[in-house]
Amino acid sequence: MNPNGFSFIHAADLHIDSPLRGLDAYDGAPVERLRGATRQALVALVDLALERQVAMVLLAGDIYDGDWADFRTGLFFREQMVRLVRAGIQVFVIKGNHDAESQISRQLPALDGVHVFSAHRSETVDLAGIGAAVHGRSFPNRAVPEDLLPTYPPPLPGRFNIGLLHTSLTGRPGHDPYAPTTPQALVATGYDYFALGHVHAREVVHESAPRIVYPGNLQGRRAGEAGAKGCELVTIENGLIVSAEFVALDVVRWQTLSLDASGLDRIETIATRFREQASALVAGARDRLHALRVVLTGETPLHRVEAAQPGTLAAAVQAAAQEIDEAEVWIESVRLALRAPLTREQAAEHSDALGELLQLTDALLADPDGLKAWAQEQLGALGPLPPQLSDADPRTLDGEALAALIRDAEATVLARVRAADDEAPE
Amino acid sequence: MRLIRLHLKAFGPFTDHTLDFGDPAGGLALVYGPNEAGKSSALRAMADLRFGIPMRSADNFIHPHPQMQVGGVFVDHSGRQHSLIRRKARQNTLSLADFSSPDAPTLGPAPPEVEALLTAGLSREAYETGFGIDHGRLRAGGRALVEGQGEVGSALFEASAGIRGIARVLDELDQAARRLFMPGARGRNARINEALRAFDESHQRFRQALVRPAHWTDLSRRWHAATETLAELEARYAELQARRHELAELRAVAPLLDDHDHAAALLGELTAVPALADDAASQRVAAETGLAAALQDAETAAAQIAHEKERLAALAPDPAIVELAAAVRRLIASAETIDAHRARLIQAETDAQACSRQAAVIEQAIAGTATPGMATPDPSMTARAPSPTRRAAIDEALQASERCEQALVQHRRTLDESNGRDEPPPAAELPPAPLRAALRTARQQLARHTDRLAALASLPAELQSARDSFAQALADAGLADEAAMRRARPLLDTRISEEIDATLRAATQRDSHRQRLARIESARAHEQAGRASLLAAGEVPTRSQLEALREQRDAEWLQLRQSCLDGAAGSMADASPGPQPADRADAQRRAEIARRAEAYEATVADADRMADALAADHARVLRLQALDATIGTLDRDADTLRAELGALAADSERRERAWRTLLAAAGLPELAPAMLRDWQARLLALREDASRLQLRQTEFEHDRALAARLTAALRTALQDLGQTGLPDSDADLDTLTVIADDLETELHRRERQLDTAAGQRQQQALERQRLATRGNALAAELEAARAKLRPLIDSLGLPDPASPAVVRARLAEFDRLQALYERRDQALDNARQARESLAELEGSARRLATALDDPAPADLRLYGEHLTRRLELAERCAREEALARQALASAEQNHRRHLASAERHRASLARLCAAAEVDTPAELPRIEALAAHKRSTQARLDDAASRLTQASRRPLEALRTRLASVDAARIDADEAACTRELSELETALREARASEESARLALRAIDASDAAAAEREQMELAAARIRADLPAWMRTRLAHALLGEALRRFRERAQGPMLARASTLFVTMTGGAFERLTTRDGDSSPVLLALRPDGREVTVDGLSEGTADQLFLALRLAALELRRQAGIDLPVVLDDVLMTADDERAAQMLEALADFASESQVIVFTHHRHLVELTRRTLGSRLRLLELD
Repeated sequence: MNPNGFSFIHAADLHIDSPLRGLDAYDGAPVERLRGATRQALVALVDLALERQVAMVLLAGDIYDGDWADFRTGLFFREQMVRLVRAGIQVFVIKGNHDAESQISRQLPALDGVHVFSAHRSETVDLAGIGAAVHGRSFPNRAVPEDLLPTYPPPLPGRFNIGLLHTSLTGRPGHDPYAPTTPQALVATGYDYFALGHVHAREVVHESAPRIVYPGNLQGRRAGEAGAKGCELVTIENGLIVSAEFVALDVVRWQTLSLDASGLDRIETIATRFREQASALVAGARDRLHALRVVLTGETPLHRVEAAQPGTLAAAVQAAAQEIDEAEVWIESVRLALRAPLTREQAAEHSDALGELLQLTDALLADPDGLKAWAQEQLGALGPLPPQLSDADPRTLDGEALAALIRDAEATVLARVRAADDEAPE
Repeated sequence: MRLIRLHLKAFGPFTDHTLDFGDPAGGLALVYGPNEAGKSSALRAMADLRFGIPMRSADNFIHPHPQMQVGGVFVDHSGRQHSLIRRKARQNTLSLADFSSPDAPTLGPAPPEVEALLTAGLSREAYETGFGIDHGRLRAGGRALVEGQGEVGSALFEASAGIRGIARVLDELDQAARRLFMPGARGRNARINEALRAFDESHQRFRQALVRPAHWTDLSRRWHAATETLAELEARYAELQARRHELAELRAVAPLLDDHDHAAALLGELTAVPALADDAASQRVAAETGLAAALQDAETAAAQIAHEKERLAALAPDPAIVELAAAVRRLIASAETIDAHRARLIQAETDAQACSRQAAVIEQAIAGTATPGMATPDPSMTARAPSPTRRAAIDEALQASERCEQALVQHRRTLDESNGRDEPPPAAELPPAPLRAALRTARQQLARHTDRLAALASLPAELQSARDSFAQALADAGLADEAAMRRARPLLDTRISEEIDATLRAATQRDSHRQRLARIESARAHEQAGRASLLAAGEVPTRSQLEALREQRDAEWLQLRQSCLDGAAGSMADASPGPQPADRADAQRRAEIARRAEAYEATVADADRMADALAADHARVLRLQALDATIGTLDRDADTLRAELGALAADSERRERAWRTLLAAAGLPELAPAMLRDWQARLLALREDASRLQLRQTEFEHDRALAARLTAALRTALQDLGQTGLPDSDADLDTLTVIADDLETELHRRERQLDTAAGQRQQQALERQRLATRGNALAAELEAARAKLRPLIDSLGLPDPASPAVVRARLAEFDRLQALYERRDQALDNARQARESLAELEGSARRLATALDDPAPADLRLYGEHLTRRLELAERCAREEALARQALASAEQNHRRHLASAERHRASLARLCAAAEVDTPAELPRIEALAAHKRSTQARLDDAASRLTQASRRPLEALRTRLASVDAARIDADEAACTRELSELETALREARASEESARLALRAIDASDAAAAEREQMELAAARIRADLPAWMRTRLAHALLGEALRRFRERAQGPMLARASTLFVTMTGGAFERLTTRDGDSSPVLLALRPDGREVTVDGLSEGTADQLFLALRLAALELRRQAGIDLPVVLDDVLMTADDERAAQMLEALADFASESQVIVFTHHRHLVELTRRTLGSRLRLLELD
C-alpha cells in the first residue's frame, strides 16, 4: 500500500440475483455463462479489491432487489464481504430504495469491518490512519421524497471527505425521483468525492472538487441497461485524487446494434453486414458474453421474405452470430423496422381478390373497436398468461399495437400468397 | 389500354420490326414464331413497353442498353389512339411518338395520365401474374384447383388474383401457428406451450428453493440456544470426571508405593554380586553337552572313510562303450527298420514295370500301331497332350459348336412350320379418314347433348319464372335492382354483434335510469304530500323566515332613525324662511316618521310573534325542514338522471348516426343490427339465386346455339361422305341421326375387315423375313465355332472333321497316359529311397565295430544284440563307482566339521568362567544362583515404578503428599457418588448434543447457493421465449383469419358473375362434355362442381388433368372479364397454353378463347406450326395471324 495515499472502490446498484431479462434460450445458447451473472460481477469486484489492495469499498445502495426474498442471496453477499474484511479492507454501505425494506438486509448478521450507515441520522466514520472520512446515510424506507443532503455533516478538516448518497439528483430518465438534490448542493458541501448510487448508467456528474460519480450498476440486466458495467477505482495521494478509472466487471454485456438494410436484397448480405458490425462492436471485450439487440431498419425487398416466414431474418442473424470469432455473442432479440419497397394503396383499389384482402384490412383499421373484438376472437385460444407475462398478453394490446399487428398479418398473407405462387410447380 | 401495334424498334433480336394486332375487338391474335425467332423477347417487349425496360435487361444482345427501344400504338376505352415509345434509361423513358415516319421521332414525354392508362394502376408483377398465362401457370392452376378440392373461395381467389396455392397457404399458416402455439392438451410440443410449461415448472422450483429471511433467523436462534445448553452440560461433566479420576488414582497408587520401597531395600543388600546374563546357566550346560557330542561324531566319520576306499578298489569299468553309448543306441533302433526297407524296395520295382506296360498299350492305340505281346513305352507321346490352357480353349470351342448345332436344328423346324401357313383373303375399301372423323365427332356431340336438346323447349318458361321470383325477392329485401345487391358489402359478424351489444347496453342503461327516475318521482310525490299535510295544520314558520323578518325589522329601524335625524336637521334649517312652508314640511316629516314607526312596530310584532311561534312549534319546523331537504335531494337526483338520460340519448343518436353512415358506406339498408344480420343472410341467398339465374340464362342461350351447331355439323359430315337426299330443315335432326347411325355402322364393319386382312399379311411377311435372317445367322455362327476348334485339336491325331464326342474321347486317352507315367516315376523313386536306407545302416555298423575294436559285423541284427548287452554292463559299473566316491568325500567333510565344533565349546566355557569371576566351570552354578536373585529383585522394583507411572502422572513425592491429605476410608464412597452423577449427566448431554446437531445441520443446510436465483433466471428464459414467439404466433394466426375472411367475402361478392361467365367458357372448352358449373355446400365451405349433361356432378378432383386445366382457364378468363368490366382493360397474353392438348381439345379451347376475345383483347403466342393450321381451321375469319421470322 502506498504510504502517502490509499485507493478505494466505489460501486452501486448490485441487485444481486436479479435475473437477466429478455434472453431467449434458443438451441445452443450459452445458458451456463448467464447463470448468476450478478454474483459473478460481485466476485470480480472483490477480486479486484484484493488484487489492488484498496483501503475500502463503498457500496452506494441497492444491494438486492427490493422484492427479492431469498436469504441465500444475503449469505452470498456476506461471504464476499468476509473475504474483504479478512484482507483488511473496510466496507461502507448505505441502503437505497431497494434495500430499505428488504428483509434480507434486516436479518443478515452484522459483520465487523462492514459499516452500514444509519437510516435515522447521518454518520461520519473517521479513518485517521489513512486520512479519510466517510459520511453517509441510509434510506429509512423505500420512498424518500426529501433531500437528505442537508443532514450530512460538514467535512472533517485534514481528511479526504467522501459522501455516500443514494439519490436521483434532479431526476434521471427511467429512475424514480428519490432523495432529490442538485449537483450544486453537493459541490457546496466541501467534500472531496461523492459516491452516488441509484442511476444504472455510469455518469461523471462533476469532474473534480468534488468528483461526483454514478458508477452505474455492476451488471446490466436487460437491453435497456446497455454498455460496459462495473465500478470506479479511485487513488488518493496526499489528499488529492491522482487517478480515477472505470473498471468493467460485467459478465454479460448488453449492446444494441442498428443495421441499415436499405437496398439489401439477400439474406446472406444482411448476415455478412451484421457479422462485420457485430465483430467490430464486441472486438474490445473478448472475454465477455455479449447480448445483442439487433434493430434492422430501412427499405428492403427482404421485408417480403420476413412477412412470408416471420422469424427468417432473426434466424439469419442468430446463425451469423455463431460465426463471430471475436467473442461469444447471444442475440437478445431482432427488432424489425423495415419498410416494403412498394406501397399497397394502388393494390387496395383493385377489385380483384387481393384488393378484397387489402380492403378488409382497411375496414378493420378504420374501426378500432371492431378490430379489437375481431382480433381477440382470433387470439382467444391462447388463454390467460401468468401474471409475470401480462405485458405480453394479446388482451392487453392497445389500438396502435393491434393496427401494427394486422398490417403485419396482411403483409404475411401477401408474401405467403406470392411465395406459394412462385413455388408452385409449373 | 389495348395494343394495336407493337413496334420492336431495337429490342432483343428485332430491329424495326412491327407486329400488327389489328382491331383488338376483331378476334383472337395468334403470334407464331419458331424456336429462336424471338417469341420470348416479343413477350418481354410487351411488358417492358408498359412498365419500363429493366436495368439488367437481357435483351441487349444486339442493341446495347442505351439504344434499346420498343414502341406501341394503343387504344383506350374511349377509342382514342396513343402512340408511345419506351427507351432504356433511368428516367423519362416513355415518350409520345410518331410511327408514321420510319425513324419514329418522339413528340415529348408521355403525360402522366397516359402512363397511368398504360399500366392501369398495376405493378409489373401484378400485370404479369394477372394477364399473362403460360402453360406452366395453367398446369399449376389446374393442380391447385385439385389440391384445394374445388373449394369455391380458394378457386375464385386464385383465378382472380392469378396466383396459385391459396389452400396450401391457408394450411401452412394454420400449421405455422400451431407449431408456435396449440390450444388444449395436444399442444404440448408447440414452442409457446413448451415455454409456458417450462415457465410454470421453473416457478414451482423457484418457490420451493426460496429461503425466507425470517426462516433463517429462526433457525439461527434455535442453534445458538442449543449451543449454550450443550456448553453448560459439558463443563459440569468435565468437572465430575476430573474428581472421579483423582479418587481412583489415589486408591490405585497406595499399595504400589509399598512394593516399590521394599524392593529398593533388598537390592541394596545384593550390590556385590556380579550381574550375569539371564541365560548364563543354560549357556554353560549347552557348551558342556556340545563338547562331548562333537568328539564322538569325529570318531564315527573316520571309520566311514576307510570303508569307502575298500569298495572303490573292487570295481572293473568299460569306458570305451560308455563314450559311444548314443551311437550304439541309434544303430540298435535303426536295425528294426531293415525288413520294412527291403519289402518297400520289392513293391516299388513291381509297380514301375506294370505302369510301363499299360502306357505302351495306350500309346500304340493313339498312334494306331497296335503290336501284340510286350509293348515298349514311348515317353515322347505325352508331349502331344494339350496344355491346361489349350484344354480349356478346346472345351469352350466344343461347347460353342454344340450350342450352334442345336439352335440350327430348332430353327429349321420352326421354318418348316411357318412355310405351311395360308395367305389372308383381300378386303373392300373405305372413304377418306377426315370425312369419317367429322361424322364421328358430329355424332358424339349429338349423343353428348341429347338430354339438353330435349330439355331446350321448356327452358324459356322456367327462366321467366325464375326471373320473376328473383325480382320479387329483391323487392322483398328492399333492393332496387341486382346492381344494388352487388354493391352491398356485408359487415363482419363481430361488428354486428358489437353493435347489438352496444345497443343493448344503452337500452339497459336507459331503462335503469327511467326506473330510478320513476322511483324518485314517486318518492318526491310522497314527500310533497307529507309537506302539504304538515302545512294544512297552519303555516309553519321557519328560521329563514324569521331571519328575513328580522332583517326587514332592522332595515325599517335604520330608515326610521334616518327619518328622525333628517327631521331634526330640517327643522333647524327651515326655521328662518317663513312659517308656512316650514310647518307643512314638518307635518309631512312627522307623518312620514309616524308611518315608518308603525311599520317598524308591525314588523317588530311580526318578528316577535314568529319567534314565539318558532319556539312553540319546533317539531313541525324540523319536520318541514327535513321534508324540504329530502325533496331538494330528490330533485337533484332527478336532474342528474335526466341529464344522464339525455347523454345516453345523445350517445345512442351518435351511434345510430355512425351505424347509418357505416351502412350507407357499405351499400346496406338502414336496419337495426339484428335485422341487418338476418338481411345479410338473405343477401347471401339472393346472391346465390342471382348466380343460379345467370347460370340458367347462360345455359339456355348456349343450348340453343349448341343445337344449331350440332345439326349443321352432322349435315355437312353426311354430305361429305356422299349421302344424298338429306332433309333440309333443322327439325329433321332425328332423321339425320338415323342416317348417320346406319352409315357409321357400315363404315365400321368395312374398316374392321380391312384392318384384319392387312394386319395378317403384314405379320406373315415379317415372320418369314425374320426366320430367314435368323437361319443365316445360326449357320454362320456354327461355321465360326468349328473354325475356332480346328487349330486347337491338330496335334491330337484325329481325322478332320472330328465330332465333339471323338475329340473328348481322345482327350480322355491323353489323360490316362499322363497318369500312368506319373505313377511309374513315383514307384522308381520309392525303390531308390529303400536302397539308400539299407546302405546307410550297414555303414554305421562298420564304423562302430572299428571304434570298439570289434571285427566287421557279418549280420547287422546279431551285431546289434551284442552291443546291447555290452553297453548295459559298462553303465552299471560306472554308476557304482560314482556312488562310492561321493560317500568317501562326505565322510571326510564330516570328520573335519566335528573337530571344529569341539573347539568352539571349549572357548564358550572359558568365557563363562571369566564373567563369573571363577577359575573353573565347576564353580559356575553357585554364582549363577546369586545373580538370578539380584535380577528378580530389580524386576520387582521396576514393576512397581512402572505401575505407579501408569496409575498417575504425578511425581512420587506429590502422590505421597496427596495420600497423606485424604481420608482413605472415604475414597470409595466419594468415587461412587461421582459415578452416579456422571451417569445422569450423560443422558442429558446426549440429548443436548442431538439437539445442537439438528439445529446446526438445519442452519448449515441454508448455504449461499444461487438455487432460487437460478430458477428465477430459468423463468426469465422461458418468459423471453414466450415474448419472442408470441408476436409471430399472433401475426400468423391473424394472417390465417384475415385470409379466410377475405376468401369468404370475395366468394360472396364474386361467386355469381364469375361462375356464370366461367360456366359458359368451360362448357365451350369441353365441347359440351359438361353442361355447367355449380356449387354445393362442403364440410366447411362451398365446393365447385362440374355438371354433366346427364345431371351427374363431378367434383374438381374427379376431373382429368386436362379438364382441370380448362376449368382453371375458364375461371381465370371470367375473372379477367370482371376486371375489364371494372375498368382494367388490358390484353390477355397466352403463351403456348395449348401445347399439350390434342387437336380436338385445342379446337374447343380456341373456340372459348375466341368467344372471350369478342369482348377482350387476346393474344396467343405459339411455336407449334400445327396449332397455326388448327387455329386457322377452327376460327376462320375470327383469327388474325402474325408470324415472327
